[in-house]
Amino acid sequence: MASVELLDSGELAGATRHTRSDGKSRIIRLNSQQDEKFAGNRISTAKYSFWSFVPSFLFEQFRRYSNIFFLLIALLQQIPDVSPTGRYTTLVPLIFILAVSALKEIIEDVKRHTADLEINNREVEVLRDSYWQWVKWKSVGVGDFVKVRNETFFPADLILYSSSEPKGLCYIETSNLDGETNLKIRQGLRETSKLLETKDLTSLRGFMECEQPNRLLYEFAGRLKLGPREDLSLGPDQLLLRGAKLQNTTWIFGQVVYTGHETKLMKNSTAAPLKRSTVDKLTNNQILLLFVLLLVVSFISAIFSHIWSNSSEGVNAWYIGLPRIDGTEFAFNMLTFVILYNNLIPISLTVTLEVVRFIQAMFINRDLDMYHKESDTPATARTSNLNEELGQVRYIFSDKTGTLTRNVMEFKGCSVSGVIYGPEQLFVCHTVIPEREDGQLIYHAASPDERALVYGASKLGYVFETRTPDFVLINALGVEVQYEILNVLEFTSTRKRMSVIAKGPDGKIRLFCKGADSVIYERLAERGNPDSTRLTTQSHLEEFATQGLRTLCCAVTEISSQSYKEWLQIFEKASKSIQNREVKLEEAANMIETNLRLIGATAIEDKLQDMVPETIAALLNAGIRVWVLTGDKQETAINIGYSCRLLKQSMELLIINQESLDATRECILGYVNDLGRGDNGQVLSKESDAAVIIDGKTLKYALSCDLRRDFLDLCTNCRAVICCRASPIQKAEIVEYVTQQTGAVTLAIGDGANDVAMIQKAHVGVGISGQEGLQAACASDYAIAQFSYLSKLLFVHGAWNYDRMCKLIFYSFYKNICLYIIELWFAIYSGWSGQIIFERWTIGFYNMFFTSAQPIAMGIFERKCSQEIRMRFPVLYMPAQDSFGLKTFFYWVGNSVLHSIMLFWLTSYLVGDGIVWNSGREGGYLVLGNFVYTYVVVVVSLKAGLETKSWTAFTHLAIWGSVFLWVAFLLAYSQIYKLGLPIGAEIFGIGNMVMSSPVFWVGLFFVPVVTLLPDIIVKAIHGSLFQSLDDQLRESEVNNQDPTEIFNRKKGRLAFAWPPRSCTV
Amino acid sequence: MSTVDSDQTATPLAESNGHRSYSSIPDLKESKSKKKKRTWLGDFQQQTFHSWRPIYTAQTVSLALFVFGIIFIPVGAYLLVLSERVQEIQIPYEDCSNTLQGEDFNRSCAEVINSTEIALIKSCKCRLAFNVSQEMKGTVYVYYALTNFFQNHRLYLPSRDNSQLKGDWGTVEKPNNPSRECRPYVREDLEEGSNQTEGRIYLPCGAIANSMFSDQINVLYKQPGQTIEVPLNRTGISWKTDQEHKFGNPEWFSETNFSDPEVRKKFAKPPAWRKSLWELDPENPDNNGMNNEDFIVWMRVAALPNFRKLFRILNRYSPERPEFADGMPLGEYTLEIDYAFPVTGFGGTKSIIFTTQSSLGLPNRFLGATVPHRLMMVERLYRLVKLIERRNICG
Repeated sequence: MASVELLDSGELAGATRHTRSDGKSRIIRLNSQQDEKFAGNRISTAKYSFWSFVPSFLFEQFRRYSNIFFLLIALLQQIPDVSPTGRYTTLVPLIFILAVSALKEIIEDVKRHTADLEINNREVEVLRDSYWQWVKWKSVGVGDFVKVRNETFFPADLILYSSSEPKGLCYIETSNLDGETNLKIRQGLRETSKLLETKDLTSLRGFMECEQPNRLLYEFAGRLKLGPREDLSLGPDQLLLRGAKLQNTTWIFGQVVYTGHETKLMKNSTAAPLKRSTVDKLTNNQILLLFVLLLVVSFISAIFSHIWSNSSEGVNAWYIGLPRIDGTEFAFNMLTFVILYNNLIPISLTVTLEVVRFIQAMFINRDLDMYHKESDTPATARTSNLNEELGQVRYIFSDKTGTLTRNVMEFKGCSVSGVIYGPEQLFVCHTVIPEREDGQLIYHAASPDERALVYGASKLGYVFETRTPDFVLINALGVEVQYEILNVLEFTSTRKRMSVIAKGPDGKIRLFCKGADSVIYERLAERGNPDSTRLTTQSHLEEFATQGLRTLCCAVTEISSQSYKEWLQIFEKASKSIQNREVKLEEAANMIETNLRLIGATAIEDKLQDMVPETIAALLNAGIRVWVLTGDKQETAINIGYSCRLLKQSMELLIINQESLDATRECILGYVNDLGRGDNGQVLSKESDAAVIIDGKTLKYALSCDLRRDFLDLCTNCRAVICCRASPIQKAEIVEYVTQQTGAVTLAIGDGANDVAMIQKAHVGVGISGQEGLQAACASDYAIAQFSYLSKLLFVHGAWNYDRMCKLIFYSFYKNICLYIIELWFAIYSGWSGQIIFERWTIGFYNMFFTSAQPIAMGIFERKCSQEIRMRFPVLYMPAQDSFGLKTFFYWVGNSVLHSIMLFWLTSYLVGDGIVWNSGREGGYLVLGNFVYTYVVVVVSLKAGLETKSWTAFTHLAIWGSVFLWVAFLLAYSQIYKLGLPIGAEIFGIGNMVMSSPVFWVGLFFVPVVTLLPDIIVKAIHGSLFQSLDDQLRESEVNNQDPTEIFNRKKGRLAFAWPPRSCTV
Repeated sequence: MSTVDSDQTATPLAESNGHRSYSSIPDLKESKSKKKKRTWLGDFQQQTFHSWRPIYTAQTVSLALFVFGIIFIPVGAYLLVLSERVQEIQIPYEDCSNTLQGEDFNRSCAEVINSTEIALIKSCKCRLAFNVSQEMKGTVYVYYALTNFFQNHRLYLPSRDNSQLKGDWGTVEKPNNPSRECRPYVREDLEEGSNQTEGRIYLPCGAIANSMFSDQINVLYKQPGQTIEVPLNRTGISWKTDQEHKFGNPEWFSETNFSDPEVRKKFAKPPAWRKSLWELDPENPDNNGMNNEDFIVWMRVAALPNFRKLFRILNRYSPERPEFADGMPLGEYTLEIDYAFPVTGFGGTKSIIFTTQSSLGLPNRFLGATVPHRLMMVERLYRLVKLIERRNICG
């Protein structure tokens, strides 16, 4: 700060030198050339430009291991005589898959480009050469004077000079920035508000100094130097942000301070941290496992190849013309086999997942059940990477206000004990703006609490009439009273209070303060607050809180004009400082907010949102732990806990309110012991019917390094946890520690800016797009309008998507192994030479065409249990959560190996000596290959059907269509050679040969049936003896039975579990 | 086995435990009532598509499979009958002894031809007698069968030049360079790394062609007083598509061309061949050169190392030999083999097979016998499941 104060009048040159040297502030000259070159006002939100697309897209793509792997394979194939499948059979599918991804990226980016173009070409009036000229937004520069008209957006961050309204006032709407739809006031400085003529602006000389661009929306510090003496302080009140809109004001004059990507809006639009789902991470590991399998199989094959080549079969195979053995052939063979088996790793999985996730996200966005009619808000999946994570949630961390409750406040009562000062103080100490509409007053307020208070007071007869920058007019029981507002000490979450210094009609200066009871009580004067008042108010506060009401304390103090003047100097100095202004203002405010006299307390009700108790009950039923993290008082929180059915009367409440680390430790350990934990340090095993309640202060101790473990052990073993008075950072910390310690999937849900940290820390962040603005929604992964939509989001979308993804991924592994491991079986019969049994291009097209629709259909249309059943029985959410483990992975891999064995050998027996026509002719190797290939396509298609519990028309299309597509392809492809092209010589005529063989048609029925017979039998046994709960519910639904019967029958069939219990007759 | 999902009209039952009833949401209620017409897109977006939901239980599955099994019994029986009807005689001959007088007389032919370089193969002839004890009715197909012969080896299988096989040889002055794929049988005396354009071009090039089956076989039928040759067709053994589109001779090809020293300077027979391409069937110009059906059959490589290839078809319509009009009559037959193809080195065998044909191709007991058996096994599954169920319930 010292440096800024050094800048004295007339030292412009020095100022410039100074700025350049430290770069901490920015100097903007009025009506003259700028010293610095600032960023232009053109914005680009697009990911790629025309030129950067190819390099940055490829860079993005080849950060994925699988793509690198396939590129490597494609390169290896270029080595002569190594590839068994020719040179381009990996490159072409890889390019195809990259092209699909590229297409998606291009479509998305073109949208962004179009939007940018529209914005950059909007026009605004700019003062150029002493005239107002229409200029495109992209040409607006720092230091320009602009004139913005009513109901238009600000083209850049501006400093408000003057407006059409008196005293340089203007109204803005900032819903684009923070989602708040209420109007806000901005006011030009007194000195500049008189600059109403164009020539006033052109004649201005001087400079403006302000902070470097930053992302803090509500902070700004700068000063304006217009003459040698005038040194005017600029604050957030003068700042008009890009993204905001001028309202109820004909025009304003302003000067541009930040442009383009340096505006606060653009600084805030950085991408949220990229989250990956658990399934995604596990999939990666499983792909690594497949890679290991690939290496092992290749290695084994290479060894056998070596053995064969050195056996008499190989050495004396004069017909082959084996090249000389020089010792390198083992390495080359290894490469050959890696190329041969490379498709064990599913090349198309990533692109399949992208397509499926995109559509799943669309299902969420379009879900009518999650569409809030009143506010016209649909659910929004802001990322599609976490669709399946929604099906695995074990912990939910919920904010209270605005999340569980509506954040629509209603004034419920006040306690005014002690001297009756009259509730008019309510009218003074707030920032509500009244607006007359159709004869009714509508109050706009940044805080719903304040609005509720003002509405409440007006019901009591104290009507808040008008606000001007300098005074407020109140109609107190018919008498008009005017308070002159001297200063406003604004509310911040650290201060937890706000104050207004006002001069009443009696000429006395008073400070009115309202805030949380803890901070107000700290500041009460020793004298003048009889204990009775304190205690009664205290008891009233508790009473309000137990009713679940939000409380505020009000206090007042009189200030002598002398001490006010002294304080004012300090305050003004603080408000002019450019750095650390916040802190300085806080210090100044602290000085004057003392010696308060308690007036009383107010109580505001924040009603629960619709269906919250039902939703919480359902979530608990689904085995999800719900933790409420709130900034409210403990009593309020507990009460809300009861009213939303998080807490039950039968539950034991473990309340932890301690003042020191040691006491906290003792308390926590005491509870842990009570709950039956031994001294040997074992983790509690049993879930206790208890709830932990802890406040912010104790939480600080509980989360300290040495206690954290015990505390979280305790919490994770109780049914419910409520943290009161938690700060945003504490909320985030809890989420982080629980995530770390339990490894379970966490979901954080909140609506306010104070929930952003927690939303970003949790595995899944859900934002409520509601009253408190969009900040939480913008940081979230999914945004919904109501808390109750969470149940559909989790139980239906989450559970379905998880089931779908598991199946899709395992199925993708399955189908690839099933076809490609056949090369291994064939290797046994081809002298371990690495010869392919299929035609080389049909191998590559398998993933691209013949088996791409089945997994996509699975990922989009599979519905295990209907929506209705899932919503009615949340208990269904729990059991399937672990279906994506290594066990299942190996089950699927084993299944596909078995299938491939059956497919290969059954077909080999079927084809026998290869003479499968009555012409007595012999078909050759591709006839066998295409028999097998066709049966593989049929079997994997039917396997997809077998795993599909809900066949839609699309499922049929995918399953039967894929088989037909392959047959059509085979027939067409095997004729291509006739056209004279040098491709398809090997497969020439095979299609007709295959189709004309009666053995093929018998086998078409026989091979798939026999191959799938074990699967069908397992399914049948499972379906008869070991039905899971969802299977039973599904069955009862299909058979139109009453599903509740299942729960009654529970002692009968449901008791079966694997392994079956031994039973004695 | 299943029922069709009848809409989402599952009746909401009384809520006893406070779960949110799905149907309490007004929007959905609206879409459920018949007022709002269901649309394709709406069903898609709301995921309310009509669906078929199969349920697999022991009852349904075993019933279905049982039915399949029942249906397949007659099919299987028919297949078995077809397969039983096929007659087959297989005569292994890789160990037959030389009948030519000389130093190698009565030595195993395998040894005789093995003792020399492939290029200088000695002649070895042997005879094997066999009996047809049951008349082989209808068309009789003659195959040669090889074992342990890896036509499917990765280095062997692609070793051919399809354009050369099609007849694109270029001109005598400027013959086309054979494809690299033909290595190591591209040109004569081609040293590793030597200039590709030197040496005579192998015609046909490649390992497959080079290793063509080269035994000559005649079948004699012993009749009272005389021995006659069984009339066998050398044509009609290969696929039409191959003949028409994959194999061909150039326009200028004729036998006389190959006696031209200019031509002989440019082209050579593969090293393992005893005669040249234009000597494969000198009697029938349509079956000569690349068009030779024995050659075409060989070039269609087998999938597995034990394979048979169609060699000859009994000519039932030969006017000189009416004895064979109905097939191969009973009696004594002799195979007269000009033994040239080495197989014992790599542990292989050779045989000649005479077979009648079923409409499914070769006999295949596997198919007829296994399918119904497999499916009927399911019935046992059902009994097993029932047993477990009963035990569990009593427990």
